[in-house]
Amino acid sequence: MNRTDIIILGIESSCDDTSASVIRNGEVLSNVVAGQEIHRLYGGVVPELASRAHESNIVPVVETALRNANVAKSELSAIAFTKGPGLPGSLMVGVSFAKAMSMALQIPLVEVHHMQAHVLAHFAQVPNNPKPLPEFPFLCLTVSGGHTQLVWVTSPMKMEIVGETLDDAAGEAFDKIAKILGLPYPGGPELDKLAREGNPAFIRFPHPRIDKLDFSFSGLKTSVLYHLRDKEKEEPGYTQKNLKDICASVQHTITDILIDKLNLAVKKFKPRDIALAGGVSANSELRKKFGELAQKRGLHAHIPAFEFCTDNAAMIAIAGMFKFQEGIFSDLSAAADPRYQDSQFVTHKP
Amino acid sequence: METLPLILCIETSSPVCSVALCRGKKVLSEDVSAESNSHSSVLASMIQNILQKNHFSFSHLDAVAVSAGPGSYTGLRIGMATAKGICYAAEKPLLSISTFEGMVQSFLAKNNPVNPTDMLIPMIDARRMEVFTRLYNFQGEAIGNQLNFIAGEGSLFIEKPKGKLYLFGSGAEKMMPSFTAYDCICDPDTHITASALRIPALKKWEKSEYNNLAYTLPNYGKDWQPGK
Repeated sequence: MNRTDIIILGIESSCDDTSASVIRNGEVLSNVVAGQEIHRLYGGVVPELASRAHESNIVPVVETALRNANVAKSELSAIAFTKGPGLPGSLMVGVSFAKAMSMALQIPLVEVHHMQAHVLAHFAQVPNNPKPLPEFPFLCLTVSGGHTQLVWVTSPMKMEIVGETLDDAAGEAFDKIAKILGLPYPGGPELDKLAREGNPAFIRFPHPRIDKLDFSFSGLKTSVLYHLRDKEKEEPGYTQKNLKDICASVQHTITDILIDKLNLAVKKFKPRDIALAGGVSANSELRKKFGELAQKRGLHAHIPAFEFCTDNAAMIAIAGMFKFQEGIFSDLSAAADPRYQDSQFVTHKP
Repeated sequence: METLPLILCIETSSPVCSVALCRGKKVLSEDVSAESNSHSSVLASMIQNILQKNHFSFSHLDAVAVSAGPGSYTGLRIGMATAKGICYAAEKPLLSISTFEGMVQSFLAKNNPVNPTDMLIPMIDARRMEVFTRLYNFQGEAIGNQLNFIAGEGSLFIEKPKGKLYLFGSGAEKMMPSFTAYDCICDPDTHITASALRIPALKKWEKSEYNNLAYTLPNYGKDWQPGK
């Protein structure tokens, strides 16, 4: 270890994944995620069960992250944790544990905004495999199960939400529609798989007419529901018979809505770099269209490795590192904030 | 050379958050938060302060004791995660203590002596007409297992108790109507604070009955059930 090394332990527990990561000078040495299979039984995340699982995962996950990174607790420069947004009970476990560790190790504590961290996941480097980083300012489309945001990123610390969903998140739309179609939880990836073999022009679902750079997905969910109800009346077994085509049409519509707004934002902000973040960036069609848009407009496209797209602690550690470098620390009164808003991460719709 | 263990006690199962620093059976210092239901923002600072003002650091501790419940889910989560974080970082043993044990010790500290035929019944509110409870003898030894008792349903006793019954804790008052047939005294004012954990914590420490740091969980009292 070099004396000037910055080594950060990141802890993330905002939803149903318990994660810990160790980074050294921006390089990810470990990124451990313990998922919670139990929620499959209920077809969605059950907050009380998630909180309980975090309580039993937290020590093994942190221990494994430090061991995999070959870093001793005494070498840590700081501990970064997710303050919010997220589920209150889940956040509380990670926050309490992070505070206790930082207090006992006498090292600084850094609170991180979960959505800001998704954007900064682009700065996670893997040892011996450097990749080009986005250049500021850039435009980031963050798409997950809980959020859909267009973010104008002017520096690691300063970001503006220039567009966001007015109702359901894109990932939520994928999951809810998959549920309507009877696909197993979590439905998003399953829908993606089936869509690959289907005809995206099978059904034309309407696009919402939403002003400016905002999104809406709840109307699509209703359209799908009514379409299936009517068709099933005419032709029982319609859904099962045309499942792949329906999936492809839904996926086509959701990704079009996302890319249309991204395109609009590109015209407005004229960035050189565009970035995709959040768990839904694993979607094959979204990746394809994102790449095509970048090519068409001559932009640098950035998509993080899958492990840094879904909820993970490496992105928390990266965001923590930027704050650490600026000397922005939290004191021991820091608490979980399920609706956390950061003054450096504001909504400003042009 | 000090031989008695220095134990940090954490109690967050009730609306009032408290921490205590104890040397063996002696309470060196105890802090009780004035604000209720603010555990998540006050607990860590309270721990830091109690150590500092008594001129100790985390490395001086021999163990960390935490009130394991039953009690408020939120409170228990914060207390347990905090205790685990300290134990993990400072490499100290964890002592997970039943909240009932702490309550019984608080009661005995206030009401000794109790007659040998008397029975101690700590009750923790579990909402609606339900409490978590466990029966203890006059010396504070548990008789039987933890129970979920619902007013008007069944009896706590296999045979009629011979002595007085002492009902105490957050669930005691609302259960009094179910105990009119007994010689019963209600003391709703016996609340647990962190120092009450020191006696059961010391017993565990002496026998090296440490709790597994990874897999020790709060005693939630109930399994989670869908639709609730």
